[in-house]
Amino acid sequence: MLDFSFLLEPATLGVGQSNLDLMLAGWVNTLRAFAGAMFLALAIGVPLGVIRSLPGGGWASRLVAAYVEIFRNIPLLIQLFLWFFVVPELVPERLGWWLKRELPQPEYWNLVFALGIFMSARVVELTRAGIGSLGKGQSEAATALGLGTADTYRFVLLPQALRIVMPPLTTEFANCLKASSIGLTVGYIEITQRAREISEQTFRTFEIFAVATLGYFLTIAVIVLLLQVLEHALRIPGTRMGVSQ
Amino acid sequence: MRMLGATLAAVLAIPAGTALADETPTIDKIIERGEIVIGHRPASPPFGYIAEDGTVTGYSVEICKYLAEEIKVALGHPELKTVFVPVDAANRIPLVQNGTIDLECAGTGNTAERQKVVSFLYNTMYTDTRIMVRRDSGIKLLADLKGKRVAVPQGAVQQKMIDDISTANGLDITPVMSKDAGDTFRLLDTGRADAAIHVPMELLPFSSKSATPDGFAFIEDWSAPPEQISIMIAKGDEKFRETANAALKGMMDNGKFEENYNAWFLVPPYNLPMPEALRNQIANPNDKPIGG
Repeated sequence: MLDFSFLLEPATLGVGQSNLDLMLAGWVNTLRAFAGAMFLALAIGVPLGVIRSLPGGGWASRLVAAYVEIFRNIPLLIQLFLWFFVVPELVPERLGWWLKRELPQPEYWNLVFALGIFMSARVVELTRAGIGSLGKGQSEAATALGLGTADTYRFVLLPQALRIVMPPLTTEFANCLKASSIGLTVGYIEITQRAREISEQTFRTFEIFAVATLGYFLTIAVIVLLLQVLEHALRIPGTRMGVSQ
Repeated sequence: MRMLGATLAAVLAIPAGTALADETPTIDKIIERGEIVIGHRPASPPFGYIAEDGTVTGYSVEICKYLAEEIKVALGHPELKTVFVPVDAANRIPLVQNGTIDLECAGTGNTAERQKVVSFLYNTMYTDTRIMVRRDSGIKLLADLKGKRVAVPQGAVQQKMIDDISTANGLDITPVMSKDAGDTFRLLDTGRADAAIHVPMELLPFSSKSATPDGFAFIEDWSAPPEQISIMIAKGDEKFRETANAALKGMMDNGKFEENYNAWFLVPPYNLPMPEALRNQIANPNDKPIGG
């Protein structure tokens, strides 16, 4: 029989905390990792996506293509392991020591970095696809109005492209939140690791993972809802998905 | 939003309590399925691991292989097959409870807490906990750990131990969380932690295969008292427990148990003569939990 009363009982390993308190602390850590990683993914992914879409290509575009292939093709778990255990041994010793010992919360920053870079490769492709979907007419019209490349992107292409990619981007937000659970492999104590820990202590495996599942489900539902509201609010009047028909 | 509501309703409507109850006694199920299922760890030497040639082995696994053969004979079904299923710390208890595995053969501590939900056979081993450091770190005694970082298997008993040590001695230790023995050692080996607290028998297989096999030592003035580990089975199936325990007692009596011990622990990197507690256990087998 499922019995959830253990949630309010004091946790074996917590100091004056209940099992539910530990789950909530894990949930906060999941959100922190998600927020950091998604910020990094957008901050890197959108500019690189613009470079990737620049007319004429060139070496910069090819470099970005290589970046995307590398970080999209290597499993996330392996990337995190490489950043955490291998990279500090390859860089100059002083920097390696800093990464291992002086960087505050090394598990958190390693996870944010690995997850952010992995997600950024996907954001690059989304941005490029969004810009590519606009059709030549948009940039030609911008050029006819006397706009340079930078202004064409700033005033014409990006405002439309980013609106177009809002729905697939929402999916990536959800993926990012779920993928943050790999943090447990480097000792980052997020909601999945908390569930494992409490399951080990209380043997309420089904119950605690039901709680974790519900936590993920509701959190993602709220994120999706917020992004849908945002998408709606940003919609250009008289258009569908931000694009003139 | 309507879709979301419907999905949520569907998720919540999954009937509670369908998974856990399994009324069929273990023996009926073994005969019906035609196999005895051994749950093992894929990478927890020396208790259970998958060897390079793909066979499942380890101290506890070898005991279970012997038990499985004896159980087949005792049940009058020598044609039964032995099947291996990998398990981990998170799923071992549910898989024993729901009958997916019949014998869990790893380094699982026999605790009173666990005895509330599963049963154990006679205790099969005693393991202590110690703190490993790098020899060149200059750390020799507990007091040298002041302000240091110690790798801890997250959620395990050692987490509480290191908290207690730190508080009781005013050491201000920062725990660094890891997910298993290999990971705990790796944190020490790469310098992310100054020390690692774990069962020595589980750390030694990793340190002895590292780049500096002789570069590690244990803190001299601290160890946790030995605690018993055993083979986990489903609770409430007395007939199966008696059959398996009879086979285990037979193994202890005919010397095969000690033979298996010597094969695993009288060799490097352990070189560990049989602990007195285990000798007593062979003379008077019992399934008393830790502290009991």
